[in-house]
Amino acid sequence: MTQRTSFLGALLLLTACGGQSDGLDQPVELTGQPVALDERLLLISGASRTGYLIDVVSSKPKAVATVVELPYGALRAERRREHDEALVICAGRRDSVEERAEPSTLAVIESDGDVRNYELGATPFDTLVQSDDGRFAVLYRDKEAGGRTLQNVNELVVVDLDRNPSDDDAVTSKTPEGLAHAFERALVSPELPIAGEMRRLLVLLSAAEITLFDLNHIEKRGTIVELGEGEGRMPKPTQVLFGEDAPVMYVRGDNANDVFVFRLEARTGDATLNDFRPTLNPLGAGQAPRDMALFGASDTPQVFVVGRSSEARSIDPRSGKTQVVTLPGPADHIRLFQGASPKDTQVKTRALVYGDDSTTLMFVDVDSVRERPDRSLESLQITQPVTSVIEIDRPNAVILTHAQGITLLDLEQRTATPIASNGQLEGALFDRKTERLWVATKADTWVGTLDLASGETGEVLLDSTVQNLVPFFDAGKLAIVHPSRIGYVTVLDTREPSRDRARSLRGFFVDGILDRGK
Amino acid sequence: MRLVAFSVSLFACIGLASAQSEPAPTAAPTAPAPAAYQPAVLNPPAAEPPPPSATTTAPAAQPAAPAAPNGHFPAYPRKDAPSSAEQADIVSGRAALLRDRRFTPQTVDTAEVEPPVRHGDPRARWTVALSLDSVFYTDVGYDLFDDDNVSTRLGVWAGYDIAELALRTTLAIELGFGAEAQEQGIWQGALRTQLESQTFSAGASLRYALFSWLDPQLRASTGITRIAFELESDDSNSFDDHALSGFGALSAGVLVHTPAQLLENRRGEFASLNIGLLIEGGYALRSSVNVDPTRKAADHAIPITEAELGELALSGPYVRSSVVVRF
Repeated sequence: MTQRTSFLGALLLLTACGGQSDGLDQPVELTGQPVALDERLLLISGASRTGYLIDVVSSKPKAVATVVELPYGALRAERRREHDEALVICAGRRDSVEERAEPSTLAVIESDGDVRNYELGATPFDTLVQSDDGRFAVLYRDKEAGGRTLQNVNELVVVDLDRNPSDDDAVTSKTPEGLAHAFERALVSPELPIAGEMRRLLVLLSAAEITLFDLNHIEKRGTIVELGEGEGRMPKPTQVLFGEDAPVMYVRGDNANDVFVFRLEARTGDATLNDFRPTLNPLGAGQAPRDMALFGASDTPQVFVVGRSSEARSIDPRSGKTQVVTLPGPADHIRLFQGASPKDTQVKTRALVYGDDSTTLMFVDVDSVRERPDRSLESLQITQPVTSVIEIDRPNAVILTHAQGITLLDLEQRTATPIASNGQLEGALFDRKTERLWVATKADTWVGTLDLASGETGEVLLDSTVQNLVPFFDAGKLAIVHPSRIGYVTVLDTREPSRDRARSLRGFFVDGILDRGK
Repeated sequence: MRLVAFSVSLFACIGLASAQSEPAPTAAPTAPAPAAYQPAVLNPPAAEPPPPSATTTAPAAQPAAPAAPNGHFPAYPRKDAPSSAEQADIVSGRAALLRDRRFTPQTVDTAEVEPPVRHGDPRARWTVALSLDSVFYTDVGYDLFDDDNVSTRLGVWAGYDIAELALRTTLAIELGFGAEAQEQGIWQGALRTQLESQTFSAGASLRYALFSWLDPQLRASTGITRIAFELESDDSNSFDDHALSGFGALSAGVLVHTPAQLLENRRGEFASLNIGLLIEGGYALRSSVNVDPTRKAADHAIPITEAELGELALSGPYVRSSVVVRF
């Protein structure tokens, strides 16, 4: 009887054991945008906590992915500047009945699949900015996003990516003290010569305030500068430009008619404070300036401003002298270029100016505004409003993208060549090597090409719809990500774009799935 | 579990039946049956009247007398002895009577007489069975197809006893077929996976008749399995692949069965028929298979490279339960 009971028990035990492996319960769902490293495509899935590195550059790519385990709550990835690495923001997770809380983390994925995780604490950061050299990453939380029961809205962390995660000073948490409003945006300056030392500043933009942290001396308290505005309005800084060779910042904001010029001068005193201090100089920029640009000598730059008041202004920051040009319509964007014009063969600084919903392109001879303001403006009508401007590798030519179609614009000749499209553009990329523009239309299985050298258009039919275009132009490849549960990418040869030269890789999300965990 | 309960019930029934039916002879299948056979043929029915000469020939009513020369009739000294002619008539009459009795068959009421019991050959050489295998897959890759590590394989097999190697020890050869199918959704239903297999096997078993109702046995088998995989995503992409996997298996078990001749009828039929339950435990060593699902592409499709899912190892222990009919 005992033996029989034992046998039946063993049989029951045998049938009861098992269970689904980790990794099979959560689906792979692409999170954020794909990232192009030098030779590998990175796709991340926050739900399954996995990243996939796929080689798309080799002559015979395989549907094989290097699977990278990510921390909890991966939100988005972007390439680390000047490095063959990707940064992934992981927001962690809160406590639950089933599982413990996990901290938010910045994961650095190297091209070979190695991962460095910088733990950031309990705050679920969701926004990342980098310094131009990729050394510093600053993470903070979008004010609009939901957070914890109690949330320090001004908390941020500075990660020195040149240090190892285990180093004490790799991650520094900061909260600007004395801010009257939560900061809304952060940015990192290029290196500036401040108080005899080349250093980068962390600049926080909040309503009526600018906060400056010295990234070379992050242990010091931040410097808060209040932006004053007449008529009781509260400026909201949105745009910051930095002088090339001088420690000067130019700040433009919504709800303000001024451009604020900060000069950073050395100071001595409390060692806990920055060793510089800003002096503030507001410049009148007309009604509601929408964009600004610097031109002229790098040590004495001039400010060019356009706005919704249908005015363009050239401002000398030192003297405050301003020259105004009346535009045919409101303007929101400036694109400076050096070149001639149909009426002037001299190469000068000129500007393409356009409004968000306007079909009028305006050309302003910026250098001539002071001398001949009445003759420094030309305009050109196009068929559709401009969505974006794509820089191409041709002198004084750009490509304007529209909701449907593109326009090849010659900035010197002031001619526009429209290229129509049969669908809404999903993305447009310019390949400098082949001088070819690549576009994809939404939910379509075609990609179109425009050869700038010959003016010929072409198209390549794909076997599935386009989700993302990811350029690997240096390697002569364009990766097209298709919507798929198991991973599906088509790699086109940018030198000879055709179906015969293309190669699709499918199933790399499930590659080796039977061997995982062995 | 129902199978297990059934097995236990069958085991109990078999044990009870064997206890009630003992002792049934298991040998001398052609030996004549004892007792009831001859009287049923030779004894006249009790209700039939005696023949006319019964009063004169009944030995119990007469004193002992010397035996007649022919050994059939005693010689009595008589005062009124008949004449020679009368004696001749008597002799001829008796002869006629004997002739009548010899050649006139008696009528027997067959409705009241049991037919004779004949015994057939109790040796069962053939075996057919329905089997249910619980196969334990230890490879983590199997989780792709099934939440549990235990798969159920239904099968049939047949065997034939080819030799008695020793007393009570029998060698049999077998052929079998089994099929199993697993299907599940992974990634919260985003992918559906399916694994189907058909197994063909051949083997040999060594059986020892420990008791009339219990045979321990060893089995060695080999064969091949055709394995079909399918992977389907909810965006209507479907991939499939198939592969062949050879295997060899060793197992040990016990066959609990009804004793021989328990199911035999009076005409000696079904003497060798017995039914039973065979429980085995063993290990199957299988060659691993690579799963490389592909999808048929159109002629002008962009050349495509599909992922390889990896290697699936299907070796593992198993428990086989078979309902066996032997004859």
